[in-house]
Amino acid sequence: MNTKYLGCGILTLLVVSASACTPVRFNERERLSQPDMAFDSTPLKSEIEADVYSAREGASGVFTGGGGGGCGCY
Amino acid sequence: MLLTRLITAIRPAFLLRILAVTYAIVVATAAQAAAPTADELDSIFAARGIVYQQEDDGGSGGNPTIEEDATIYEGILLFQQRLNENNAASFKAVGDLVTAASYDDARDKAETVSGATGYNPGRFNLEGRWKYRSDSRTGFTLHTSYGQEYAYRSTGYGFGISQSLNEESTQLSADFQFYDDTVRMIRYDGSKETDEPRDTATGAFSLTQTLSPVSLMNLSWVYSRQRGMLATSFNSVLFDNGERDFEVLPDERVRNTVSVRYKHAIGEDSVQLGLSHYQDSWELDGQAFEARYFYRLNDGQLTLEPSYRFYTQTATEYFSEQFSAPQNYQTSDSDLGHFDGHSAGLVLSYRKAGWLTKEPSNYDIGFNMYRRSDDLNFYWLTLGWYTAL
Repeated sequence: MNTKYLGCGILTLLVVSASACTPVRFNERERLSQPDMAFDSTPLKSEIEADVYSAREGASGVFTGGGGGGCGCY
Repeated sequence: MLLTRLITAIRPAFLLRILAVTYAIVVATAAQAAAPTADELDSIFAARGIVYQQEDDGGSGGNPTIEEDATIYEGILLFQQRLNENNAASFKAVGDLVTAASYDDARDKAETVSGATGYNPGRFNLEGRWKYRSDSRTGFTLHTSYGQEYAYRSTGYGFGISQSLNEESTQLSADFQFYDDTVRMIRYDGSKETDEPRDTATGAFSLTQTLSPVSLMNLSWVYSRQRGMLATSFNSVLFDNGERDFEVLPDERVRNTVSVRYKHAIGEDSVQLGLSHYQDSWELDGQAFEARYFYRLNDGQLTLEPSYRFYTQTATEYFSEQFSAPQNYQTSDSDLGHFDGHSAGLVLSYRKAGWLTKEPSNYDIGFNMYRRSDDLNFYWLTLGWYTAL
Protein backbone atom coordinates (compact mmCIF):
# COMPACT_ATOMS: atom_id res chain seq x y z
CA MET A 1 0.00 0.00 0.00
CA ASN A 2 1.41 3.38 -0.98
CA THR A 3 0.68 5.82 1.85
CA LYS A 4 1.38 8.81 -0.38
CA TYR A 5 -1.72 8.05 -2.41
CA LEU A 6 -3.61 6.86 0.69
CA GLY A 7 -2.78 10.19 2.35
CA CYS A 8 -3.90 12.19 -0.69
CA GLY A 9 -7.12 10.20 -0.91
CA ILE A 10 -8.02 10.52 2.77
CA LEU A 11 -7.16 14.22 2.85
CA THR A 12 -9.25 14.97 -0.22
CA LEU A 13 -12.18 12.94 1.10
CA LEU A 14 -12.11 14.67 4.46
CA VAL A 15 -11.74 18.15 2.99
CA VAL A 16 -14.78 17.51 0.83
CA SER A 17 -16.64 16.02 3.81
CA ALA A 18 -15.65 18.90 6.05
CA SER A 19 -16.90 21.49 3.62
CA ALA A 20 -20.29 19.78 3.77
CA CYS A 21 -20.43 19.74 7.60
CA THR A 22 -22.91 21.94 9.42
CA PRO A 23 -20.79 24.51 11.30
CA VAL A 24 -20.87 24.57 15.08
CA ARG A 25 -22.00 28.11 15.84
CA PHE A 26 -20.02 30.51 18.02
CA ASN A 27 -22.62 30.34 20.81
CA GLU A 28 -22.19 26.54 20.92
CA ARG A 29 -18.43 26.69 21.41
CA GLU A 30 -18.12 27.25 25.14
CA ARG A 31 -16.70 23.81 25.86
CA LEU A 32 -14.59 23.75 22.70
CA SER A 33 -12.91 27.01 23.75
CA GLN A 34 -11.40 25.45 26.88
CA PRO A 35 -7.62 24.81 26.59
CA ASP A 36 -7.94 21.03 27.01
CA MET A 37 -10.10 20.87 23.87
CA ALA A 38 -7.32 22.07 21.58
CA PHE A 39 -4.81 19.74 20.01
CA ASP A 40 -1.29 20.73 21.12
CA SER A 41 -2.45 23.77 23.11
CA THR A 42 0.53 23.97 25.49
CA PRO A 43 3.48 25.70 23.76
CA LEU A 44 6.51 23.41 23.18
CA LYS A 45 4.93 20.38 24.93
CA SER A 46 4.06 18.37 21.83
CA GLU A 47 7.26 19.48 20.15
CA ILE A 48 9.51 18.12 22.87
CA GLU A 49 7.55 14.86 23.00
CA ALA A 50 7.86 14.47 19.24
CA ASP A 51 11.62 15.05 19.50
CA VAL A 52 11.93 12.20 22.00
CA TYR A 53 9.85 9.78 19.98
CA SER A 54 11.38 10.57 16.59
CA ALA A 55 14.90 10.20 18.02
CA ARG A 56 14.29 6.62 19.17
CA GLU A 57 11.73 5.39 16.63
CA GLY A 58 12.14 4.73 12.93
CA ALA A 59 8.99 6.68 12.10
CA SER A 60 8.70 10.45 11.88
CA GLY A 61 5.77 12.86 11.73
CA VAL A 62 3.60 10.72 14.02
CA PHE A 63 0.76 13.01 15.21
CA THR A 64 2.93 16.08 14.55
CA GLY A 65 4.49 17.73 11.52
CA GLY A 66 8.22 16.95 11.70
CA GLY A 67 9.44 14.77 8.87
CA GLY A 68 13.13 14.42 9.74
CA GLY A 69 16.19 16.57 9.30
CA GLY A 70 17.40 19.39 11.48
CA CYS A 71 19.04 17.13 14.03
CA GLY A 72 21.65 14.38 14.11
CA CYS A 73 19.76 13.01 17.13
CA TYR A 74 22.85 11.38 18.59
CA MET B 1 24.19 25.14 -4.85
CA LEU B 2 21.66 25.12 -2.02
CA LEU B 3 18.83 25.85 -4.43
CA THR B 4 19.98 23.06 -6.75
CA ARG B 5 20.09 20.59 -3.90
CA LEU B 6 16.64 21.59 -2.69
CA ILE B 7 15.13 21.36 -6.14
CA THR B 8 16.57 17.91 -6.73
CA ALA B 9 15.47 16.82 -3.26
CA ILE B 10 11.78 17.66 -3.49
CA ARG B 11 10.70 16.67 -7.01
CA PRO B 12 9.40 20.07 -8.14
CA ALA B 13 6.52 18.69 -10.17
CA PHE B 14 5.14 16.88 -7.14
CA LEU B 15 5.53 19.92 -4.89
CA LEU B 16 3.87 22.19 -7.44
CA ARG B 17 0.96 19.75 -7.69
CA ILE B 18 0.56 19.74 -3.91
CA LEU B 19 0.77 23.55 -3.78
CA ALA B 20 -1.79 23.91 -6.53
CA VAL B 21 -4.21 21.48 -4.87
CA THR B 22 -3.75 23.15 -1.48
CA TYR B 23 -4.26 26.64 -2.90
CA ALA B 24 -7.34 25.52 -4.83
CA ILE B 25 -8.86 23.92 -1.73
CA VAL B 26 -8.15 26.93 0.44
CA VAL B 27 -9.44 29.50 -2.05
CA ALA B 28 -12.44 27.53 -3.26
CA THR B 29 -13.78 26.93 0.21
CA ALA B 30 -12.97 30.32 1.75
CA ALA B 31 -16.52 31.58 1.84
CA GLN B 32 -17.14 33.38 5.10
CA ALA B 33 -15.19 36.26 6.54
CA ALA B 34 -15.19 37.26 10.19
CA ALA B 35 -12.95 38.74 12.84
CA PRO B 36 -9.54 37.05 12.98
CA THR B 37 -8.74 34.56 15.70
CA ALA B 38 -6.11 36.35 17.72
CA ASP B 39 -4.86 33.57 19.96
CA GLU B 40 -2.09 32.36 17.67
CA LEU B 41 -0.62 35.86 17.48
CA ASP B 42 -0.73 36.82 21.17
CA SER B 43 2.50 37.75 22.93
CA ILE B 44 3.74 34.89 25.08
CA PHE B 45 6.84 33.65 26.82
CA ALA B 46 7.38 29.92 27.29
CA ALA B 47 10.16 27.91 28.87
CA ARG B 48 10.47 24.14 28.94
CA GLY B 49 13.11 21.76 30.19
CA ILE B 50 13.57 18.03 29.89
CA VAL B 51 15.81 15.49 31.55
CA TYR B 52 16.04 12.35 29.43
CA GLN B 53 17.59 9.11 30.64
CA GLN B 54 18.18 6.11 28.34
CA GLU B 55 19.21 2.67 29.60
CA ASP B 56 20.21 -0.37 27.58
CA ASP B 57 19.79 -3.01 30.29
CA GLY B 58 23.47 -3.39 31.05
CA GLY B 59 24.50 -3.46 27.40
CA SER B 60 22.10 -6.16 26.19
CA GLY B 61 19.26 -3.82 25.19
CA GLY B 62 18.88 -2.21 21.77
CA ASN B 63 21.98 -3.09 19.76
CA PRO B 64 23.68 -5.63 22.09
CA THR B 65 27.14 -5.01 20.61
CA ILE B 66 27.42 -1.38 21.76
CA GLU B 67 26.70 0.78 24.80
CA GLU B 68 23.58 2.90 24.33
CA ASP B 69 23.14 4.51 27.73
CA ALA B 70 22.53 8.25 27.42
CA THR B 71 21.53 11.27 29.48
CA ILE B 72 20.31 14.45 27.81
CA TYR B 73 19.33 17.76 29.38
CA GLU B 74 17.42 20.08 27.05
CA GLY B 75 16.05 23.56 27.58
CA ILE B 76 13.81 25.57 25.23
CA LEU B 77 12.88 29.24 25.41
CA LEU B 78 10.17 30.76 23.23
CA PHE B 79 9.36 34.45 22.99
CA GLN B 80 6.56 35.67 20.76
CA GLN B 81 5.67 39.33 20.29
CA ARG B 82 2.49 40.56 18.65
CA LEU B 83 3.46 43.33 16.23
CA ASN B 84 -0.04 44.52 15.33
CA GLU B 85 -3.52 43.11 14.75
CA ASN B 86 -2.35 40.77 12.01
CA ASN B 87 1.33 40.04 12.59
CA ALA B 88 3.57 38.44 15.19
CA ALA B 89 7.22 37.46 15.36
CA SER B 90 8.79 34.79 17.53
CA PHE B 91 12.24 33.59 18.51
CA LYS B 92 13.08 30.18 19.91
CA ALA B 93 16.33 28.89 21.38
CA VAL B 94 17.10 25.25 22.17
CA GLY B 95 20.14 23.98 24.05
CA ASP B 96 21.20 20.41 24.87
CA LEU B 97 23.80 18.89 27.14
CA VAL B 98 24.52 15.31 26.13
CA THR B 99 26.23 12.35 27.69
CA ALA B 100 25.83 9.35 25.40
CA ALA B 101 28.13 6.34 25.23
CA SER B 102 28.27 6.11 21.43
CA TYR B 103 28.50 9.88 21.06
CA ASP B 104 31.30 10.24 23.60
CA ASP B 105 33.18 7.29 22.11
CA ALA B 106 33.12 8.82 18.64
CA ARG B 107 34.07 12.22 20.02
CA ASP B 108 36.97 10.88 22.06
CA LYS B 109 38.40 8.91 19.16
CA ALA B 110 37.81 11.75 16.73
CA GLU B 111 39.79 14.18 18.85
CA THR B 112 42.97 12.42 17.81
CA VAL B 113 42.33 12.90 14.11
CA SER B 114 40.13 15.98 13.82
CA GLY B 115 41.61 18.27 16.42
CA ALA B 116 38.25 18.61 18.15
CA THR B 117 38.40 19.86 21.68
CA GLY B 118 37.29 17.86 24.66
CA TYR B 119 34.82 20.57 25.63
CA ASN B 120 31.57 20.18 23.78
CA PRO B 121 28.30 21.79 24.86
CA GLY B 122 26.12 19.25 23.02
CA ARG B 123 23.75 21.02 20.69
CA PHE B 124 22.01 24.32 20.13
CA ASN B 125 19.30 25.44 17.73
CA LEU B 126 17.95 28.93 17.03
CA GLU B 127 14.74 29.68 15.16
CA GLY B 128 13.03 32.86 14.00
CA ARG B 129 9.43 32.88 12.83
CA TRP B 130 7.00 35.41 11.38
CA LYS B 131 3.22 34.87 11.47
CA TYR B 132 0.53 36.70 9.59
CA ARG B 133 -3.22 36.22 9.89
CA SER B 134 -5.60 38.19 7.69
CA ASP B 135 -9.06 39.44 8.59
CA SER B 136 -10.44 36.71 6.36
CA ARG B 137 -8.69 34.13 8.55
CA THR B 138 -5.98 33.21 6.09
CA GLY B 139 -2.65 32.63 7.77
CA PHE B 140 0.93 32.65 6.51
CA THR B 141 4.13 31.75 8.31
CA LEU B 142 7.81 32.01 7.41
CA HIS B 143 10.61 30.61 9.51
CA THR B 144 14.31 29.89 9.44
CA SER B 145 16.60 28.00 11.82
CA TYR B 146 20.19 27.10 12.45
CA GLY B 147 21.45 24.26 14.62
CA GLN B 148 24.80 22.75 15.44
CA GLU B 149 26.05 19.75 17.36
CA TYR B 150 29.34 17.91 17.45
CA ALA B 151 28.94 15.90 14.25
CA TYR B 152 26.06 17.77 12.59
CA ARG B 153 25.05 21.20 11.34
CA SER B 154 21.61 22.19 10.12
CA THR B 155 20.10 25.15 8.31
CA GLY B 156 16.33 25.16 7.92
CA TYR B 157 13.76 27.19 6.01
CA GLY B 158 10.00 26.87 5.94
CA PHE B 159 6.70 28.45 5.09
CA GLY B 160 3.07 27.62 5.72
CA ILE B 161 -0.46 28.59 4.77
CA SER B 162 -3.64 28.06 6.76
CA GLN B 163 -7.31 28.88 6.44
CA SER B 164 -10.27 28.76 8.81
CA LEU B 165 -13.65 27.99 7.27
CA ASN B 166 -17.27 27.35 8.20
CA GLU B 167 -17.33 29.82 11.11
CA GLU B 168 -14.02 28.34 12.28
CA SER B 169 -15.39 24.80 12.37
CA THR B 170 -12.75 23.81 9.82
CA GLN B 171 -9.04 24.60 9.85
CA LEU B 172 -6.81 23.66 6.93
CA SER B 173 -3.07 24.07 6.92
CA ALA B 174 -0.09 23.19 4.76
CA ASP B 175 3.48 23.59 6.00
CA PHE B 176 6.65 23.12 3.98
CA GLN B 177 10.05 22.70 5.53
CA PHE B 178 13.50 22.36 4.02
CA TYR B 179 16.70 21.42 5.80
CA ASP B 180 20.15 21.82 4.30
CA ASP B 181 22.21 19.78 6.76
CA THR B 182 25.85 18.77 6.94
CA VAL B 183 27.12 15.54 8.48
CA ARG B 184 30.65 15.51 9.85
CA MET B 185 32.06 12.17 8.72
CA ILE B 186 33.65 11.10 11.99
CA ARG B 187 33.81 7.31 11.99
CA TYR B 188 33.54 4.87 14.88
CA ASP B 189 37.27 4.14 14.65
CA GLY B 190 38.25 7.82 14.83
CA SER B 191 38.97 8.25 11.12
CA LYS B 192 37.55 11.32 9.42
CA GLU B 193 36.35 11.91 5.88
CA THR B 194 35.02 14.91 3.98
CA ASP B 195 31.76 16.36 5.29
CA GLU B 196 28.64 15.10 3.49
CA PRO B 197 25.28 16.86 2.84
CA ARG B 198 21.88 15.67 4.03
CA ASP B 199 18.86 17.43 2.53
CA THR B 200 15.31 17.04 3.80
CA ALA B 201 12.11 18.40 2.26
CA THR B 202 8.84 17.95 4.16
CA GLY B 203 5.24 18.80 3.39
CA ALA B 204 2.77 18.56 6.29
CA PHE B 205 -0.95 18.84 5.55
CA SER B 206 -3.50 19.10 8.33
CA LEU B 207 -7.26 19.31 8.66
CA THR B 208 -8.97 20.02 11.99
CA GLN B 209 -12.75 19.66 11.92
CA THR B 210 -15.23 20.46 14.68
CA LEU B 211 -17.76 17.64 14.69
CA SER B 212 -20.11 18.82 17.43
CA PRO B 213 -20.13 21.26 20.38
CA VAL B 214 -18.13 18.67 22.34
CA SER B 215 -15.96 16.89 19.76
CA LEU B 216 -13.43 17.54 17.02
CA MET B 217 -10.92 15.63 14.95
CA ASN B 218 -7.59 16.25 13.28
CA LEU B 219 -6.18 14.50 10.25
CA SER B 220 -2.62 14.97 9.07
CA TRP B 221 -0.40 13.67 6.33
CA VAL B 222 3.35 14.25 6.43
CA TYR B 223 5.42 13.58 3.31
CA SER B 224 9.19 13.78 3.61
CA ARG B 225 12.02 13.15 1.18
CA GLN B 226 15.62 12.94 2.36
CA ARG B 227 18.75 12.75 0.24
CA GLY B 228 22.45 12.54 0.93
CA MET B 229 24.32 10.98 3.84
CA LEU B 230 21.49 9.31 5.74
CA ALA B 231 23.57 6.89 7.81
CA THR B 232 24.91 7.93 11.22
CA SER B 233 28.59 8.54 10.50
CA PHE B 234 29.93 6.96 13.70
CA ASN B 235 27.62 3.90 13.69
CA SER B 236 29.16 0.52 12.86
CA VAL B 237 28.08 -3.07 12.15
CA LEU B 238 29.63 -6.25 13.51
CA PHE B 239 30.60 -9.27 11.39
CA ASP B 240 30.70 -12.90 12.50
CA ASN B 241 34.51 -12.84 12.45
CA GLY B 242 34.52 -10.05 15.02
CA GLU B 243 35.52 -7.27 12.62
CA ARG B 244 33.55 -4.06 12.21
CA ASP B 245 32.59 -1.87 9.28
CA PHE B 246 30.75 1.43 8.74
CA GLU B 247 26.98 1.65 8.69
CA VAL B 248 25.89 2.10 5.06
CA LEU B 249 22.37 3.18 4.06
CA PRO B 250 20.79 4.36 0.78
CA ASP B 251 21.21 8.03 -0.08
CA GLU B 252 17.46 8.56 -0.46
CA ARG B 253 14.54 7.96 1.89
CA VAL B 254 10.90 8.79 1.18
CA ARG B 255 8.70 8.83 4.28
CA ASN B 256 4.92 9.07 4.62
CA THR B 257 2.86 9.35 7.79
CA VAL B 258 -0.92 9.53 8.06
CA SER B 259 -2.38 10.34 11.50
CA VAL B 260 -5.86 10.89 12.83
CA ARG B 261 -6.73 12.27 16.27
CA TYR B 262 -10.11 12.61 17.93
CA LYS B 263 -11.02 14.65 20.99
CA HIS B 264 -14.27 14.43 22.96
CA ALA B 265 -15.44 16.31 26.04
CA ILE B 266 -16.93 14.27 28.84
CA GLY B 267 -18.44 16.86 31.12
CA GLU B 268 -15.56 18.92 32.52
CA ASP B 269 -13.03 16.30 31.40
CA SER B 270 -11.96 15.27 27.91
CA VAL B 271 -10.37 12.33 26.16
CA GLN B 272 -8.06 12.32 23.14
CA LEU B 273 -7.39 9.29 20.93
CA GLY B 274 -4.94 8.99 18.06
CA LEU B 275 -3.92 6.49 15.37
CA SER B 276 -0.98 6.80 13.00
CA HIS B 277 0.49 4.79 10.16
CA TYR B 278 4.04 5.30 8.86
CA GLN B 279 5.77 3.81 5.83
CA ASP B 280 9.07 4.56 4.12
CA SER B 281 11.14 3.49 1.13
CA TRP B 282 13.48 1.47 3.36
CA GLU B 283 10.57 -0.94 3.99
CA LEU B 284 10.14 0.23 7.57
CA ASP B 285 6.46 0.32 8.64
CA GLY B 286 5.27 1.77 11.93
CA GLN B 287 1.92 2.09 13.67
CA ALA B 288 1.10 4.15 16.75
CA PHE B 289 -1.93 4.37 19.04
CA GLU B 290 -2.26 7.06 21.68
CA ALA B 291 -4.83 7.80 24.40
CA ARG B 292 -4.86 10.83 26.71
CA TYR B 293 -7.34 11.80 29.39
CA PHE B 294 -7.63 15.38 30.66
CA TYR B 295 -8.98 15.37 34.19
CA ARG B 296 -9.90 18.95 35.12
CA LEU B 297 -10.19 20.00 38.72
CA ASN B 298 -11.18 23.26 40.37
CA ASP B 299 -12.81 24.69 37.24
CA GLY B 300 -9.80 23.91 35.05
CA GLN B 301 -7.19 25.51 37.29
CA LEU B 302 -5.61 22.10 37.82
CA THR B 303 -5.38 19.47 35.09
CA LEU B 304 -4.14 15.89 35.37
CA GLU B 305 -3.21 14.29 32.07
CA PRO B 306 -2.47 10.56 32.12
CA SER B 307 -1.45 9.14 28.75
CA TYR B 308 -0.60 5.84 27.10
CA ARG B 309 1.06 5.25 23.73
CA PHE B 310 1.73 2.01 21.87
CA TYR B 311 4.13 1.93 18.95
CA THR B 312 5.30 -0.95 16.79
CA GLN B 313 7.62 -1.04 13.78
CA THR B 314 9.06 -3.58 11.38
CA ALA B 315 12.80 -3.64 10.75
CA THR B 316 14.18 -1.92 7.69
CA GLU B 317 15.37 -4.41 5.08
CA TYR B 318 18.99 -3.35 5.71
CA PHE B 319 18.94 -4.18 9.43
CA SER B 320 20.63 -7.08 11.17
CA GLU B 321 22.17 -7.36 14.63
CA GLN B 322 25.20 -9.04 13.04
CA PHE B 323 26.35 -9.74 9.46
CA SER B 324 28.23 -12.68 7.93
CA ALA B 325 29.73 -10.55 5.13
CA PRO B 326 29.72 -6.90 3.97
CA GLN B 327 26.49 -5.78 2.30
CA ASN B 328 25.71 -2.92 -0.07
CA TYR B 329 23.57 -1.49 2.73
CA GLN B 330 24.01 -2.51 6.35
CA THR B 331 22.91 -1.20 9.71
CA SER B 332 22.62 -2.48 13.26
CA ASP B 333 21.02 0.70 14.56
CA SER B 334 18.36 -0.59 16.94
CA ASP B 335 16.10 2.36 16.06
CA LEU B 336 15.79 0.80 12.58
CA GLY B 337 15.12 -2.73 13.87
CA HIS B 338 11.85 -4.38 14.87
CA PHE B 339 10.42 -3.53 18.27
CA ASP B 340 7.23 -2.72 20.12
CA GLY B 341 7.14 0.23 22.49
CA HIS B 342 4.84 1.01 25.41
CA SER B 343 4.91 4.52 26.80
CA ALA B 344 2.96 5.86 29.78
CA GLY B 345 3.03 9.30 31.30
CA LEU B 346 1.40 11.75 33.66
CA VAL B 347 1.40 15.54 33.40
CA LEU B 348 0.15 17.86 36.15
CA SER B 349 -0.71 21.40 35.01
CA TYR B 350 -1.58 24.35 37.23
CA ARG B 351 -2.86 27.70 36.03
CA LYS B 352 -2.50 30.79 38.23
CA ALA B 353 -1.92 34.54 37.97
CA GLY B 354 0.28 36.56 40.27
CA TRP B 355 3.23 34.26 40.99
CA LEU B 356 5.81 35.31 38.42
CA THR B 357 3.67 37.60 36.26
CA LYS B 358 0.44 39.56 36.58
CA GLU B 359 -0.95 37.67 33.62
CA PRO B 360 -2.19 34.09 34.08
CA SER B 361 0.61 31.57 33.82
CA ASN B 362 0.56 27.83 33.22
CA TYR B 363 2.99 25.61 35.11
CA ASP B 364 3.36 21.89 34.40
CA ILE B 365 5.45 18.94 35.45
CA GLY B 366 5.39 15.58 33.69
CA PHE B 367 7.00 12.17 33.81
CA ASN B 368 7.05 9.56 31.04
CA MET B 369 8.52 6.11 30.76
CA TYR B 370 9.02 4.17 27.53
CA ARG B 371 9.75 0.45 27.45
CA ARG B 372 10.90 -1.11 24.17
CA SER B 373 10.65 -4.84 23.50
CA ASP B 374 14.38 -4.91 22.68
CA ASP B 375 15.13 -3.74 26.26
CA LEU B 376 16.22 -0.23 25.33
CA ASN B 377 14.20 1.80 27.83
CA PHE B 378 13.99 5.49 28.55
CA TYR B 379 12.44 7.97 30.96
CA TRP B 380 12.00 11.69 30.83
CA LEU B 381 10.94 14.43 33.21
CA THR B 382 9.63 17.74 31.87
CA LEU B 383 9.06 21.10 33.49
CA GLY B 384 7.17 23.80 31.63
CA TRP B 385 5.96 27.35 32.12
CA TYR B 386 4.26 29.77 29.78
CA THR B 387 2.58 33.10 30.26
CA ALA B 388 0.84 35.79 28.29
CA LEU B 389 2.80 39.04 28.04
